[in-house]
Amino acid sequence: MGVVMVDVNAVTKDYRMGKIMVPALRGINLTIASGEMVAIMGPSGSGKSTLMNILGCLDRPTAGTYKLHKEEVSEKSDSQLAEIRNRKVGFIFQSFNLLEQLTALENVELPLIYRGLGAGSRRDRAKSALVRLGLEDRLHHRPQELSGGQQQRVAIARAVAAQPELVLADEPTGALDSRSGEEILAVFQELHAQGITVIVVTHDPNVARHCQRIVRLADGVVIADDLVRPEDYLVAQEVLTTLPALPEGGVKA
Amino acid sequence: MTLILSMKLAWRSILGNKVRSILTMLGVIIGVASVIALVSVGQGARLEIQQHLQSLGSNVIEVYSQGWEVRFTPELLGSLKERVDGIKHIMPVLNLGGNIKWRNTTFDSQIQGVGEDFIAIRDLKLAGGRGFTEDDISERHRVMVVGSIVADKLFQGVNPVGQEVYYHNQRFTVVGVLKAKISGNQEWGIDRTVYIPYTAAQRLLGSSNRIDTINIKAEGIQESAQVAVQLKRVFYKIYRRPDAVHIMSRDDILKQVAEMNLVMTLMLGAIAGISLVVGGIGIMNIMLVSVTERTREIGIRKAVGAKNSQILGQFLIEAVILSAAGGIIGILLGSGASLVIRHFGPPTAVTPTSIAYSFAFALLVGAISGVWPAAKAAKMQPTDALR
Ligand SMILES: Nc1ncnc2c1ncn2[C@@H]1O[C@H](COP(=O)(O)OP(=O)(O)OP(=O)(O)O)[C@@H](O)[C@H]1O
Ligand SMILES: [Mg+2]
Repeated sequence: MGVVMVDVNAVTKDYRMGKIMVPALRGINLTIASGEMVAIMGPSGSGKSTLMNILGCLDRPTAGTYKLHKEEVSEKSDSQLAEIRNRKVGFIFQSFNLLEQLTALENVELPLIYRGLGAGSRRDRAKSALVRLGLEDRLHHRPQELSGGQQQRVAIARAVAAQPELVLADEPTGALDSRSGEEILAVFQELHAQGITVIVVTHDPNVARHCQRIVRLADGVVIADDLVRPEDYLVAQEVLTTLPALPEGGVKA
Repeated sequence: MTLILSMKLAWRSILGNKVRSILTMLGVIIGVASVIALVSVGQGARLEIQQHLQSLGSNVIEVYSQGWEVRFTPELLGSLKERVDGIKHIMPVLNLGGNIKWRNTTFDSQIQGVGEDFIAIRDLKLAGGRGFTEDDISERHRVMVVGSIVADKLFQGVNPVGQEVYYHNQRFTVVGVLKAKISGNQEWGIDRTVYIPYTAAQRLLGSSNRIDTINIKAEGIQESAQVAVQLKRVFYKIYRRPDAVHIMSRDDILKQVAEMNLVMTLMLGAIAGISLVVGGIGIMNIMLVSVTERTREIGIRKAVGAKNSQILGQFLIEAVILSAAGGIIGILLGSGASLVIRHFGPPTAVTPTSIAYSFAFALLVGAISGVWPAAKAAKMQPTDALR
């Protein structure tokens, strides 16, 4: 194993529900190397999103340690966590989570704004990220003027424009039709090819087959951790050729 | 750099919900508008008094009759000059109104019947022609000395001296023109006044011995206080009551102006305080609702790396922009109200100072009332906000 990107050690997470504590994670151990593409699967309520939030520094574990690229996260301040989210992590959600009142371009610029980048280079980087995702003629559209697949591509552009080391996607294709979902997976595979670490939460075994490794959770613990067999592995670009093309055209990957 | 962008974002979220934004700003709008309008009335009154002071001349004491039995006569004026020390000049004054007419032009002006010393008493200067002579007064000559604005507006470039002017269908001859006393174009005041001999004024009115006011010029500042005291004594001896006349010196007027300023300041302070509370609560309330409504937006911003301080700044800026916009609208409404008031009633004047103060005040209200909602937004946990 090369450089370790994600190192999770005996991490637990309890949620307080009134007087009782609900354990969402009950001792997770997980190591992911830099450059891996991993799927996380498990039944609903097994703690996938909870784990992703901790990996993405959106939340802190109740106990245990989490090292992101050798940095111990639990010792960081809120402001330092914001910095990590801003520079090292790109988060992609099932519900896209774009700001409705901003255009696609402005949405992609958002993390760069908080980084303090100047207007010119900010705009250039945001634009090239959108172009890379095939949205060059949608720069000034608002989210509600875009299809679900296009919105998710804007969200990915927002994540990759910040040039993160780690891309986290929580059911990124869950709200999309099969072709749009496949296009998103093609982008992830391309990011993976560039050496970016990608972690995808999914319920769909076919989505998981686009990754090299599948981690299974149940009741807040890891119950299986397997590599995808080469004969099961799916290449999104190949799958796309078998799907009927949409008039809008695909992704420039 | 984020400031400009935050402002842009704030502006957009304000425009995105116009009705709510206006309702939010209402408290600030009403507060600022009422302060501007009220100050303008106060300022107008102050200006009027100032101009009256200037028209009065230095060391002048005015004596008003207070009662039907208190009649001023030329004989009384003569005896006052002898019984009271320190009087330099004394003259009767009659105030008349109405239009004067030259050729086909009429001019709405203030007409005063005065004595021959009026130029000295009022500290006026002739620009051309002459003042009144003893003969003009005793013979009730229909002659006229006009203020500089009258000269400009009515005669339009023609030298007024020697021109014939009609007043109450009587023909008057202009014998003198005065220099401007106050710079600028006043709507009332000394440079719009027309002077005629008080005897001519009495004849015009038919009541041949009416005198409204006595103007007395003291020898100097020290004397003027003594003259006022002596006058009171003399009038008390004549009428056996202390309030037979009202004696007003420049000191009295200055004292009144100072009192009025204090009352104005206290009143405005109260209004400003109330509008601070009302406007501030309005903004705070809507901002708190807006923070709750925009939980998801806050979560998204935090997920892509916004620091707590950056979220705090955004909501604070939004509150300040709301109150600034409210302040600007309030200034416009208040200035408009002041124009309307001037049209129907007392003179008003909107000053840059009152605009500056009320605007700064509105900004302060916004900043203060934005703190709590902004802090609430900043403290939100990203995962809670995204759920
Ligand atoms: N904020 C919260 N407060 C209380 N309980 C929570 C909270 N978030 C999650 N949980 C609970 O923690 C457990 C794990 O939730 P989590 O969202 O991580 O599951 P998941 O694997 O992502 O499920 P799904 O596939 O439905 O998205 C669940 O029992 C859930 O009810
Ligand atoms: Mg989930």
